[in-house]
Amino acid sequence: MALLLCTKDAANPFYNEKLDIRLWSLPELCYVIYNYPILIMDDFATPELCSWIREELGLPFLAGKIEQLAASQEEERGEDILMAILQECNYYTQGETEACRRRIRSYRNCGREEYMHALGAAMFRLRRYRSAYDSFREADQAAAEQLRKAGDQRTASGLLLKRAGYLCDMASACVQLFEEKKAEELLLSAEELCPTERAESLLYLLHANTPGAGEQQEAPSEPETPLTDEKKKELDLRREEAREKARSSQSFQALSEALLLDPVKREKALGELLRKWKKDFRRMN
Amino acid sequence: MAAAIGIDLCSDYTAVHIYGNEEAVVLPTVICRDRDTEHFSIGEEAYRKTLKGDGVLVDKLLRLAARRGTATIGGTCYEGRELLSIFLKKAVRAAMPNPVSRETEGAETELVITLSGLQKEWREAVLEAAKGLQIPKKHIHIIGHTEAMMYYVLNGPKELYNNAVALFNLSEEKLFYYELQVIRGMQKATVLCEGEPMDEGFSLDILKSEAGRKLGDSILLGCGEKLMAKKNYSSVFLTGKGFEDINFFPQFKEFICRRRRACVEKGLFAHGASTAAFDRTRPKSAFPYVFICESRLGADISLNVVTKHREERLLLAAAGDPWAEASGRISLIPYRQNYVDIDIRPVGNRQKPRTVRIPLTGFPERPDRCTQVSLEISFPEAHKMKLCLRDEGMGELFPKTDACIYEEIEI
Repeated sequence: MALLLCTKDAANPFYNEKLDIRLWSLPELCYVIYNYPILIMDDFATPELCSWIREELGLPFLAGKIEQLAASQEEERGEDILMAILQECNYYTQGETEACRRRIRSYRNCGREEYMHALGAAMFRLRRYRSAYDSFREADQAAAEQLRKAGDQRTASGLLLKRAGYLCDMASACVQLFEEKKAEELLLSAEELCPTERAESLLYLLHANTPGAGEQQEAPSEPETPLTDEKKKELDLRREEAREKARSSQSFQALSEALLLDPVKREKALGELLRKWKKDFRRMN
Repeated sequence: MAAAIGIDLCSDYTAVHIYGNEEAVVLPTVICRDRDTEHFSIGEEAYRKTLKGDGVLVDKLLRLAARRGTATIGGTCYEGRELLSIFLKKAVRAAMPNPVSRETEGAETELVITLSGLQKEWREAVLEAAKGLQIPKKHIHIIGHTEAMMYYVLNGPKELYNNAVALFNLSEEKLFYYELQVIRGMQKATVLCEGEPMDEGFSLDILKSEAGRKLGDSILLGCGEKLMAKKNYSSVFLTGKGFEDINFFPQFKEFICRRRRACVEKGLFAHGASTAAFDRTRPKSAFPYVFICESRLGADISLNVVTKHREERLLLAAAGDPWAEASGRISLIPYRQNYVDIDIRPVGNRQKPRTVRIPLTGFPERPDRCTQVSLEISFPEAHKMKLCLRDEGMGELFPKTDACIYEEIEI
């Protein structure tokens, strides 16, 4: 438990295209390195980054160190650069920095399927749902390819379970993009491949949240892993908590306040909110 | 050469001292405008013109300026601060008899104004009025009488302050008592100075009669015996209009001179203020002490932070800092905690150190270390600290909200 003293913020931000984020401080830079290393493992040490660290953050020694590492022929120079940045700031502990290094190594050594799934998860956390969907689909395709080659039942079962998981992930991304019908199809496919509690839970929540969803379909066959009443209650509770959280969010408060304004101001406020949401949606997409 | 000016600005009298001069110029805090012209006079000249019927007098200038009052003279409405500004300009000029000195006026001049009270409205009024002196704002400072006394006493011989030092200030308004003590044996020598108005006071008009003088003498003696009973004093100082003739108070005079040095100094606070001004012109202060008085902080304010993976104590404000100028802002990221602890360590062993915990109530829930908190401190008065904690979020990753906590803490 502690209070970390912050260094000065940059007057001008650093923009990274892969992350699609503007960074204003060293802690923010460390945060994205630690949480999204898969997106920036390679080619992160650009001259623009070094210049930003040197001039905007006032850290010429660190910038010089990064330039030196980037120029070296070491195989692990990408990781070394990211670790040098993490170590400069007291934002993460020594143990956390080492854990980050291990994660990066695991991404480099894993197969395409695991890599694409990890990439999709990172994109999902960044709210880049279209990119997340694409990555999950690639992971699913890689798993499908392996399934075709699978010789024994056990391997095949494992791959079916994985595929069901990837389809659930794709469905989650579709829901975030307001593509509920597509999400439902994916979840039903997941159920067909390998019935899981996760797919069933997501379907239950989807039907509960989307009025009319599932009614136009043919009556589905009884799921092989039906949800217990207790599980349904738990899901209902989570749904209510999520609704409550949404109601107390800043966006909802802003909308509520805008609706209470007089017509002229209301139109202006709602217009601004709409522009913001459109910008957010374009980013997610 | 830089000039150092000290002004003791009181409701009834103002003293101006230029560092290096022998005596301070003392004049009533009044201004008079000629009936038919825009010409202004101050002090005794203002009284003379008013008595002759040539001008209109305005007194209580400090109070008028503090409450943003106005005075109408000859059909023209003058703001109190405007009149105070004219008064100060003329008072400084009166204290600079040498025409050559007048030419250096405003060139790298350091000005210290001392007031008996440091209320916000008084300080603001005086700072605004002092602009008329054309001295850059960073070279104008306001201190209390206790701080002015410190500079005056410590600028003198050491034997004057080996033990406690007492000061009596007898003015039209009141009788004030001040006490100064140098505390040694600490990391840095600390000087403590406190003052208070006495209930026992008297109008200076009674000194016109023998009976009145006797009464005044017995009142002063009673005060002296009560206040100075428990300590050893190296010296006693007397200042203010009431002590212009110390022979009015023979018993009191005999008491204060008993086994100690006693001194009457007409513009003592102005002298002290000019010493403070001169000290500020030096690259390094000639007074290596921690000053604890009404215009200085009496405690170290700090918090524990982690920087470069090491925990250390970050000093937000130090004991002895002028509280009116002590303010600051830092940014912190709470790690596995949702509160900020502020440590308050009074100096002089008068109170115990304590920690004030401020929970970050109302701040949005975010993952750990994803909230940057800006901490701003300021001091509206000597014993109060104002704290503001704001949510700064974390850039575009976690946008900031309006969450803000205000706290006022006694120190």
